[in-house]
Amino acid sequence: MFHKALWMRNYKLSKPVIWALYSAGFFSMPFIFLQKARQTSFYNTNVNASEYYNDFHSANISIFFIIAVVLIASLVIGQERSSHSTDFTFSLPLSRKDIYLSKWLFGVFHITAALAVNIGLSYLIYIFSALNKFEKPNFLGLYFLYAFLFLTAIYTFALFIGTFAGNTVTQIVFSVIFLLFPVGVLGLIGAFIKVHWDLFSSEAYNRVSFGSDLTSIISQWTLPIPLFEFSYYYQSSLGKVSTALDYPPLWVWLVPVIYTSASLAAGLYLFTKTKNENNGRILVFDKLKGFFTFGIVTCFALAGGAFFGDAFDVYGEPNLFSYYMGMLTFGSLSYFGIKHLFKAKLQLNKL
Amino acid sequence: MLKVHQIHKTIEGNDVLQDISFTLERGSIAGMVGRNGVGKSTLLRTIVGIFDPDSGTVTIDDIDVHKNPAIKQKITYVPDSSELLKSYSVKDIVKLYDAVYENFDAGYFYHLMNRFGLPKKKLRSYSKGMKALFHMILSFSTKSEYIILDEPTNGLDPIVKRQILTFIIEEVSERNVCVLISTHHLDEIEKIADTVITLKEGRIGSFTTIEEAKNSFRKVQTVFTDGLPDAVAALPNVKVLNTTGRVTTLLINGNIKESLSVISGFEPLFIEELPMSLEDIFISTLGGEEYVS
Repeated sequence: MFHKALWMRNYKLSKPVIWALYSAGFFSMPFIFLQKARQTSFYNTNVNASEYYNDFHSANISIFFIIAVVLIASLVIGQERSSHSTDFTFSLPLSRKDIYLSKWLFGVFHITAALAVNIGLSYLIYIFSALNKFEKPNFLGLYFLYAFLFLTAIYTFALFIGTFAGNTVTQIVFSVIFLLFPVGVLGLIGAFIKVHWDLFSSEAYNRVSFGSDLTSIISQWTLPIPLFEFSYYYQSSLGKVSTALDYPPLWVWLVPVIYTSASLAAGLYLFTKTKNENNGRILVFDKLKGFFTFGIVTCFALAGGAFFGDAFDVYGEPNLFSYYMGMLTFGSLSYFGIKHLFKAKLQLNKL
Repeated sequence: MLKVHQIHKTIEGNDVLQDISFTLERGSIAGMVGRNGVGKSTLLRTIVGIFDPDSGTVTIDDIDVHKNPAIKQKITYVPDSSELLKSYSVKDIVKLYDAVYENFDAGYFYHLMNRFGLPKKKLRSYSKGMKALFHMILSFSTKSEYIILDEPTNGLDPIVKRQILTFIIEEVSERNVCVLISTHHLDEIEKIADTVITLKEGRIGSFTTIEEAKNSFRKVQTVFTDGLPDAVAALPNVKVLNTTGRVTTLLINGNIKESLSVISGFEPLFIEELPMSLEDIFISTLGGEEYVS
């Protein structure tokens, strides 16, 4: 699984984003905590020695991590395809399985290291600063595990997308689409039900509308969303301490484990069957063209219907005629667009 | 022994390679020629495992390259692009190759770098010729038994070309390696190759030694009183290469003695055998005047 040459190669392909991952971690945790420690020290010395407030919201930092891990996955596979450097990698005396696993291990190592280094530094800042007088940073350990599970799952999933996306751009686009797919599709189905109100019971719409039980379950299965839901706060005022640590229920912690296992297995399978002759195109496998055409046209048609239906509403109610015009327009445009894009080939400079 | 057995490959519904079979032995240089888009690069990529064949096998010493990639320790591939590894420094590349190829000889590599006066800088700063020479040196330093070169001298000046060709001959004779070169430059093949493989419409057109190829063809210049007789032009194994006034240059493919006798029967004013190059043969066999060189 570990191969020095492949490690060097992966680092070369993704170097700028790897450093961005470490930097994102540094500026969103140790740097912030350092500022907090300095403020606390100043406040306690000069204003009030017993007042203290601290909070931590993963929502503030997760987006940088998510962007970084998707980009790393898109560089170690997609960039190699776009620049046709796969000719070099695949001509080496190494199995495709080893090549793929090395890409996976490389990303997981850097996710772990970036979190460990920055959370470790944050921990040290807590221990050796004014913050230590008020609280113990135990939430950081839990956040490390939580972020590790979700970021590894997002990385593994984006890497899996790279096994059938033919270039960097499509890998990034497909990764974003499929990462948000569960809630996205539910929203489109909701819009469809809403406009065909007379065909469905109100119960049907309530089931898929925002805030329903179904949407909250589906959101937990939409990988990036739970990552935004980890928060902690601590307040000490007039000798009274209040603190809270919020994160999704334990079953949600299993979601990234399932995503990671399934994506790794599927990615490994597809990578060993890869069709390098299609590198640079939208899809690596010709057989997927029909499925993707159907999926993309359906989603665009539903999105177009939802958009037109709302934009040209009648007294605040979505308009059925506009909905179908939107469906037809977006569906047709996406059909011809995708037909055209399937013929295109992206080529970047070799690395 | 590198054995390509009944390779078939379809890309976007087109049969790019059909029933390709040949065997190469160590200590030989084989040239692969064919018109643009005939499938030369696809075949080379399939041989080294970048592409999977739809059917057929590529084996080195009876071990399947696609099923056992570790056997590729014995084969290296130099693609036709000079852009490869351009963001790497020489030192990085040596580290990379040293980690990949068990027999990579860094000492020999640096010796060759000095011999050809290549600087130890980033490849980005190299000229096109320097890059081509560099990749050649690199592939031979792996001590692989089979070296696959895709258009190694494309766009290079004559001096670099000569350096590369001389280097290949030296390596083959001293280390008993086998080199397979895909090229459009027939003069190069003629100078260094023992065997010529022609690809035509995705199939092997011929697999012969240079001598065999030349012996089965004759190029003759003729002058007839009333121009070339129709009966001569209609001979199935005779191709008109060129006509200027009453002077016609013919290429005879096989049945040379009988064909010359038929031509002489029409009492030409003049008939002379001309020196023949591979180019004459391949213009005739690979697609006539529209042959791309």
